[in-house]
Amino acid sequence: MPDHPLSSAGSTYAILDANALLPPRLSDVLFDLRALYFPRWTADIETEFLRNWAQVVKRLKGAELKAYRAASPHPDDERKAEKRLNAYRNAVGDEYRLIGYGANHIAKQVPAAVNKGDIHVAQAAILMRHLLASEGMVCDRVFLVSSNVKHLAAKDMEGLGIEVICPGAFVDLLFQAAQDRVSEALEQTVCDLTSPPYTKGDLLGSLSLHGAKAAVKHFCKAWSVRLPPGKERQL
Amino acid sequence: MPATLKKIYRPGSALVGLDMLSQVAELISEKIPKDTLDKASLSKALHDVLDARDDRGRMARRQIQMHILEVNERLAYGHSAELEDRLLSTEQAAQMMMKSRPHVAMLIDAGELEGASTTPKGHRRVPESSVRAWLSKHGKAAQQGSSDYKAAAREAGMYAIAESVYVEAAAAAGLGRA
Repeated sequence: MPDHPLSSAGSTYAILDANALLPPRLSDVLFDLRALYFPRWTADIETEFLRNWAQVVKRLKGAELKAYRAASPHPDDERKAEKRLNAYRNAVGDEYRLIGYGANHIAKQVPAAVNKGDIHVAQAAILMRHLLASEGMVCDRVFLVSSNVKHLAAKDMEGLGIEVICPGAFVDLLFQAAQDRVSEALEQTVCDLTSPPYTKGDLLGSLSLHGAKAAVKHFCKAWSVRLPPGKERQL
Repeated sequence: MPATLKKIYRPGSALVGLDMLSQVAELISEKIPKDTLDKASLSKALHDVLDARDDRGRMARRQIQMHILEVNERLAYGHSAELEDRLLSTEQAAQMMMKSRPHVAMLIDAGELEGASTTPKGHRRVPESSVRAWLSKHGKAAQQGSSDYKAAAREAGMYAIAESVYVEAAAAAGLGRA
């Protein structure tokens, strides 16, 4: 049985939305912590990741973005985005991918309050819960990690046994359950990034931006780091 | 390794051959052409695999236990292993495929494992032949590319952009922010 601190008698599964996979500092942390839970996502989430990757990395907006999309394909950009995505897949192993979440018995369980564009994400989480329940794995926990909590009908999803949570709050939960292991993983995150250099202050600034209040408060004290008030430190 | 085996097992020594595993090794070595593999190294290999405390060791022990149970069952009821396509539970299929039970259940539900069915009590069953077909197609699939997601981000220039830009762009693209 995996040593997952959020599920003492079982496993922890987290469906990672595209908005959790896309920001590199956040997703580095989420994958560096993958020994503490099982990350899962879908082909639709990957499609969202790929569709939005260039917009962010190339800082395209408005007419520029429209022209860029019209001039598609962009093989070099697609290759870079796909390489990052493929590295996630390889880090997790082939069980990362959820399939079959469009089935009727899953689709009809999606709460009406879930935003239309996010239904596929809710379905992925419902599928995961369904698979565990049907195999009698009732001690396992399912999280849906997204920056889009308000569009995912968190209360209704809770009724289905799914905890919708923003990425920072998820990191906080892991931190509260396994302080030493999270501390070790975060130290590794900083050590791994040397070019350009990444400091503990940078990391805590990013975690602060994503709402990991408890972890940031603790590590600011433990690592003697002072963050600029109310702002992420610019890289 | 049990204490009794520890006492007599010395890799490469004349004492190899006194425990149960070396008897099994002897049976297997009879099947191997001469001069290709000696009994001691085979016995040691068996110990290395079966005595390991890691997940692979646990898996190997479970599979051997299951195999013995199944062979006994077949012999007791006079079934022919060659003629029968056994129906496996998700647990049994998961062990063969070295995957988790929910993952196998998902593959069954998605039609990736042909011929699967559900018992009246709702338990999934999948033909062993279907699992073997899946393994021959996917079992040896090599990992494509690297798992170094930080190198991929660095190469793509992702770290040169402030994290807040990603958050804002994700929100603007409708990927949202609570």
